[in-house]
Amino acid sequence: MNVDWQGAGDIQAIFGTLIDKELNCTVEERDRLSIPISNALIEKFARLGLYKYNLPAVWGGQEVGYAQWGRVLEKLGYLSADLSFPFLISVRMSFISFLIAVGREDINSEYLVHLIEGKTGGAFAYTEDADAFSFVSRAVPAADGKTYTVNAVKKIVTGGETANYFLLFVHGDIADMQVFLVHADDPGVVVTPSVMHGCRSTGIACLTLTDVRLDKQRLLLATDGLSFAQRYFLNCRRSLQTTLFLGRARAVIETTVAYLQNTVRYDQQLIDMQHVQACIGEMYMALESSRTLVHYSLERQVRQESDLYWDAVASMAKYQAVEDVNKIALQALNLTGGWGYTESSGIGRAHRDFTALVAGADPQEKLKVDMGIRMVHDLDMMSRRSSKKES
Amino acid sequence: MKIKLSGNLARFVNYKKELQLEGEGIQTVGDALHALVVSYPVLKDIIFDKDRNVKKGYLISLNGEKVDAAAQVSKGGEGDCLDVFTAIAGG
Repeated sequence: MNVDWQGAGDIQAIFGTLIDKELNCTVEERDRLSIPISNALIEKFARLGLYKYNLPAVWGGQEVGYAQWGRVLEKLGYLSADLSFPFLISVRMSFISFLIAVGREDINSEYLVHLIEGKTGGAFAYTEDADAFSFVSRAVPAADGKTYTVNAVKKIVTGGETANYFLLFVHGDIADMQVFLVHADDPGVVVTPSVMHGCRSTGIACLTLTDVRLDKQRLLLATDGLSFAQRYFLNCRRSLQTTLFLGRARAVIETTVAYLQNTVRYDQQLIDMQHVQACIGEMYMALESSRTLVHYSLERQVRQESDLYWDAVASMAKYQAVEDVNKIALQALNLTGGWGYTESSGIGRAHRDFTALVAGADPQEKLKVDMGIRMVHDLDMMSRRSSKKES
Repeated sequence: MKIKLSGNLARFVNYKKELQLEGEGIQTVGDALHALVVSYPVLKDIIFDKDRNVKKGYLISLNGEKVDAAAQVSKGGEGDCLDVFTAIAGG
């Protein structure tokens, strides 16, 4: 591995020992048994400053912004053979950022310090078997308005198994989304671990709330929670979360080339065969094309050029990254055959892990629909402007 | 005035491509949207928050120009076309 790739040496210098000893050496067993990455391990990384990059200065951070934070996650994905780790870190960090964006001093003083120290962790309880307008999870206020009774089923909560807190998105008494802060140990809360196809150590879980009584202080957003979710969870993370997968895809390419350099068929190293070289070239182009689009998308976010609520470039960056990392993993398997298929090569696991990106932040076909209707809408608006000018 | 709801909102108006709004007292885009929810009450909590402000996630255009709820419409909305669009992707 070339730790200077994209300057990954700076991350290696700070976190390398932890990554090697506590993640890379143990990844196979953890993945095989779907053991989630522990909060204790995350705390060790937090102590070394992993959360500081994207935190506001007022909370002791460097405020590097999404573009630089994306590059940190990309390097972590490159260095960590367990992709679940940077995936989980990105979720935990977004949880902290969401709470800060809510801007409640009482909440910040009660929760943020321990979250930033990595002593506790949070997860987003958003996804249901329904679109956002049809969520069945409900919060009903008591007559005196001091408490709420909440019933909810959230099927896929990344990082849910080890989360101490959840941001829960529910409909209120009307069809308006509200956001509550829920504790994992609130009476009536059940967290059920789910076994997934890839990224098995993120601790994906199903969260169920049955007649859970929450104090009104736990209601973070009383109205228009959907817009807030769009801005501070869904939209801003869409291209960000691809970065760590792109870093791992680069590692897969390097692993593949190393194998091909040491494997002889028909008295020739595989790497010297032109078809093999063409395949490597294709993987390289796929990676760098996606990286270009994803980092452009994140830089647009930093420059505040992107749509805060649904950005087409962020969505197409995510779409393209999914296509490309999965293509790279399959191509690596095609080139390395039985060796790549072994657990110890890491390529088979990457092939499974990369499919997690298909599922997160909407699958490919849904993104195509979103993109299509947006394009049609934009053309309609152009046409209307022309018609109005002519009249 | 014509109103078109697209994206995820179309379902709330039974996927009608275009709605016609007659409005004597309509002076702003916000007025038009309030008039719309009289005909389609299910939209009230979809479009407006609890303080009766238009929710932030919508892309609203008047005659193709991006506007906010305070934008002025033509007298009675005559000849105007209002588009309300949203795209929501999952988490």
